Amino acid sequence: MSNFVAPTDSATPPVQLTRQGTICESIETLALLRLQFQQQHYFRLPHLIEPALLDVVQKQIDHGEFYERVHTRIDSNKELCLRENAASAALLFLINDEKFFEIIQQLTACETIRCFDGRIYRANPGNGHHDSWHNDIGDDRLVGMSINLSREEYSGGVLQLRERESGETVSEIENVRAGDAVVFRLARSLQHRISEVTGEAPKTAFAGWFKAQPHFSQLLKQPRS
Amino acid sequence: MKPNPNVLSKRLGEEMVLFNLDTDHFYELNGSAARFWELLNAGSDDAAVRQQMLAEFEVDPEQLASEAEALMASFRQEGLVTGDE
Repeated sequence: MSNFVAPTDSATPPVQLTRQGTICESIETLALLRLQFQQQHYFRLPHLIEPALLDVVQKQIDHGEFYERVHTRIDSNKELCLRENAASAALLFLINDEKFFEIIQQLTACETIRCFDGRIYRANPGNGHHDSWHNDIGDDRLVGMSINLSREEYSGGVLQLRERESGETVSEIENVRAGDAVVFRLARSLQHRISEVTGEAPKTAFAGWFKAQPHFSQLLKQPRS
Repeated sequence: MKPNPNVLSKRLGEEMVLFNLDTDHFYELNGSAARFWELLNAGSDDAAVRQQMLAEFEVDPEQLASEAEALMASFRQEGLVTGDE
């Protein structure tokens, strides 16, 4: 496993999603992130969500309702999923931004991104919420992303990437600071999973995929399920 | 009047899509209403917005004043703007 780590914890976030749209002020850091993605299949975007907006989103999550969701295609993975509310709508609104898509395309060299789709989930320690190795390929998915929305710092809940053939772990990525994102490669040759959450605090995150279609305008105007 | 900081907006072609985080409601503004919001959101005050609209659209000042007032009343009612005029 490579020990390369891009210096992404500087005071100025390389990319930030704000009320005014996507702000990108650190081109030099982006070059390092691109290199990290080439070598380790992921990079971190510290403070991706503007802190004041993150606070509002977390409050909406506090008022939301979670239900248990079982992914029957992924070894019966279990998680608590937030019924869509203002928090998930706001995150979709922020992330589905053409400038942000261009940045992600440049950093990951993926094909044209037209939308991001995802859901807010929660994993409680000791409740059997688990994840198994899978690759998320299909349904026009190009690149994965997870944003930490947790109120407290949690233990475990680490994103692990491995080579599918050899089973060799290629990256283990902690993401314990709220508002930070991890962007990771989806490929047939790779698999990923989230390790079990331990300790006391739950993990809450917004996770999903940049996709080749549909265009995001369709997602934003879709009635809620 | 200023845009409510919990209202997110995005231009989609000719439309402006607004999302109010406080109420979980989406809005679509077309044409001159979209431009009105865009100018307001860029930090212009009400008077500056009207002046710019007069420069950009073929409309007489009285009609614009009336339509702008109606639009601001809708924005206020939906919690899209805050503060005193």
